[in-house]
Amino acid sequence: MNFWEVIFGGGRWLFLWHGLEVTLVLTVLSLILGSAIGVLVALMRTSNLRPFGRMKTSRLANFNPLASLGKIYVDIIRGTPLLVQLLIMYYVVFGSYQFMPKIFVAAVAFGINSGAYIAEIIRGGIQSIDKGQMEAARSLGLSNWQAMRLVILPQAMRNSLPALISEFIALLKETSVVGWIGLNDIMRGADNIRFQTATAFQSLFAAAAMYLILTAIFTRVMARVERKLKHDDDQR
Amino acid sequence: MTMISVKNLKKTFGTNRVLRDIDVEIEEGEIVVVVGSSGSGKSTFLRCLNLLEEPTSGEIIVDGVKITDPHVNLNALRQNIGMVFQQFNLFPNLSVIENIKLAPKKLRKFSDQKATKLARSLLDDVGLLDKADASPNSLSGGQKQRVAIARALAMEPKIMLFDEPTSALDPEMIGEVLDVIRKVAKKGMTMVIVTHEMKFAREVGTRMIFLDKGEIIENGTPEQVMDHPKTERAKKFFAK
Amino acid sequence: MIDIDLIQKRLVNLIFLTILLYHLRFLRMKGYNKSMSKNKTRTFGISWWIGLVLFAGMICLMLGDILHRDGVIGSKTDVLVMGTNAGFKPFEYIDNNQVVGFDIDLAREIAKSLGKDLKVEDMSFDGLLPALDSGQIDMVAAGMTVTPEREKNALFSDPYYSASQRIIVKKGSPIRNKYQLPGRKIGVQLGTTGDTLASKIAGASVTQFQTAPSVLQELSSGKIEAVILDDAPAKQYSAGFSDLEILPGALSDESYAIAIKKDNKDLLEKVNKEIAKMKKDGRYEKLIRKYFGEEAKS
Repeated sequence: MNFWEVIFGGGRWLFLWHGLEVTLVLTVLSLILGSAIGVLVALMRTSNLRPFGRMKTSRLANFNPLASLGKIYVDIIRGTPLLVQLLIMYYVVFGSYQFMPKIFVAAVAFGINSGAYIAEIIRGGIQSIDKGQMEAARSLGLSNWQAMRLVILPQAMRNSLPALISEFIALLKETSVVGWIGLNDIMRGADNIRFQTATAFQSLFAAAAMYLILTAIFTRVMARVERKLKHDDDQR
Repeated sequence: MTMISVKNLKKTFGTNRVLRDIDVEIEEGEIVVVVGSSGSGKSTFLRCLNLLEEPTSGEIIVDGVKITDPHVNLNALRQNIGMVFQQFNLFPNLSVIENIKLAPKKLRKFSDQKATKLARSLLDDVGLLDKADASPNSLSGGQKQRVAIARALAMEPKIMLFDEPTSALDPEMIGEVLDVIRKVAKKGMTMVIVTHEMKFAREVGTRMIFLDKGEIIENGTPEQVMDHPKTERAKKFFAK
Repeated sequence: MIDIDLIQKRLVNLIFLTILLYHLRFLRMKGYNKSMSKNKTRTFGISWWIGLVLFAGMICLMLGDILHRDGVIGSKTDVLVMGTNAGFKPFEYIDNNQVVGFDIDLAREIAKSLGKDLKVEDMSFDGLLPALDSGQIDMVAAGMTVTPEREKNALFSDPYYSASQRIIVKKGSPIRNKYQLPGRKIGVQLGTTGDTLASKIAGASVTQFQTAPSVLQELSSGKIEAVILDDAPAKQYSAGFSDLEILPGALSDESYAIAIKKDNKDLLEKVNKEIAKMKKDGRYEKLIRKYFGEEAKS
């Protein structure tokens, strides 16, 4: 069978098209959720909450419950395989909510996973901002949160953009394990073609090409965003 | 009327006693110049006045409010105290005019139109109206510092604090920044200026404080302090 | 095969994608122009926002498509999910890429009485009870025999079908009843009740095969002397072999019932009621005739 026949014969291209839909939608949903979690956890980890700060002698003086919580979350997520998290999410957490569509279950699992990585990237971005920025904002009378939101975070996000882009691309590729919970993404679509036609080369290369095209488009768009931000900064 | 009153102010960083027992009163409209060698605690003293540094002990009363009280609303307090930093600290993610508009819009609830009007008039005052839409990164050091002064003035504070405003500047840019500060001084605002520019200090200051090792050892008019210092330490400093 | 509606949706998506890609090309040209003008305060021009909105629109359409395929939207939200293992003719088997059979029709009647739509999940037989337990399916209708073991893990409805294990031999074989089985060569289907029974017959040599037709093929060619099978598939599949006969008299009696999650007594009651009603008003008869032929018992 030639390539054309394997992929397009018998409406098999539909497997790949449906796969493309699932992969794209899943990536975007997880990205939105992951970014929200990432920013939140990064803020938690850089927060300056010291409820026992007045007990100057005690060890508890430097204890920050929010930061500790954030650290535990990041450590757990980064210390366990994505697939295990996905399966736990599907069979344990959402096991008894049968009406939750699989795509949302997967988006939650991937969002929580990438949230930990994004949090670390943004935390690095926040810590790379000069202390004077915060002081200047606070000296104007802005609250800590206002200063974070209006001054620190925009700069931190821009500084961490290159790392974030790599993380987003990694996420896109990592979604290829959702086949485990029965979601038909690009990879599973290719598998279906593989089993139907008893060929390996054509379907797997088609899948690889689709991933490559997606990441290439994404990289180009993001490179443009990055260039634009930089350009606007220097030459407004 | 007393604008700032500092009593028994102490500040330690670990075992390093940066400020030991500062007592000073500053009247409304006074322009106080703080001088002293580096490491004498000048900047720390200034930063304590708007609680960017938390005093270890002591009491500071600004405009009748005891700001060292833990229950005081810091954000409201700071709106009344403008501060200009050595390193400018403009926000590079915002344009020049957005830098100035930010605080009035968020804190004084100005409409965009009103804030723009205010910002443009302030930019005109510091002579940078043509740079309104530029990015801070595209400005020279002197221009940056002038924008930073305009940004602090946009909150129409009662007190202005200057933390070595010209120390990070190339010599040829110092003049333009000092000109702007002079202009502000003429408006009768209470000001505390930490500086190394002695000529400027003498000209602008109504009072001079000399700090050494975290203590005030000279306190008087610039002429008294500079021309007839009472302590050996100050004599040596001004002789340079 | 592919319906027009789907093709339309594909087309809409493709158009979106094309516009988006074209748009990006257009952006790049504008980007270069922009670097010429210095007094630009807006970070992202209108074309970026149009692109973003288009992309968001495309993702929403795709999400809708996925959910539609998943049966989440576009159908009634009230769905009764049944699990089965489609390889047990005539109770459940795949015909034209769809799971059909006696159990499916039965379950559909039950769903109808509950005012719900039926959704069929095809999975492996041994995964059915765990799936029931974790809540992914509401009930199991898979020609499942009630056994004390299984009753520990799930509730079972009243039996809806009495099955029995039957002996099949070649016409004219000396074997006429189950007492003649010891010491014979017997063929069975792997993992069935027949398999368990045969292993208890003294001195018999048991050969296991994956499918019912292959056991019968083996019997027909004379390599084994007797076969033990569930009566329904025995009847279905032996019809194709003119030289075989099913001996009268059952080896054992067992009954098929619908399995329901342990704590769902409410559903159990409704299922029992509907089965009783179907037996009374003739719908059950009709189903039996549809799948087992005219002369079938009820």
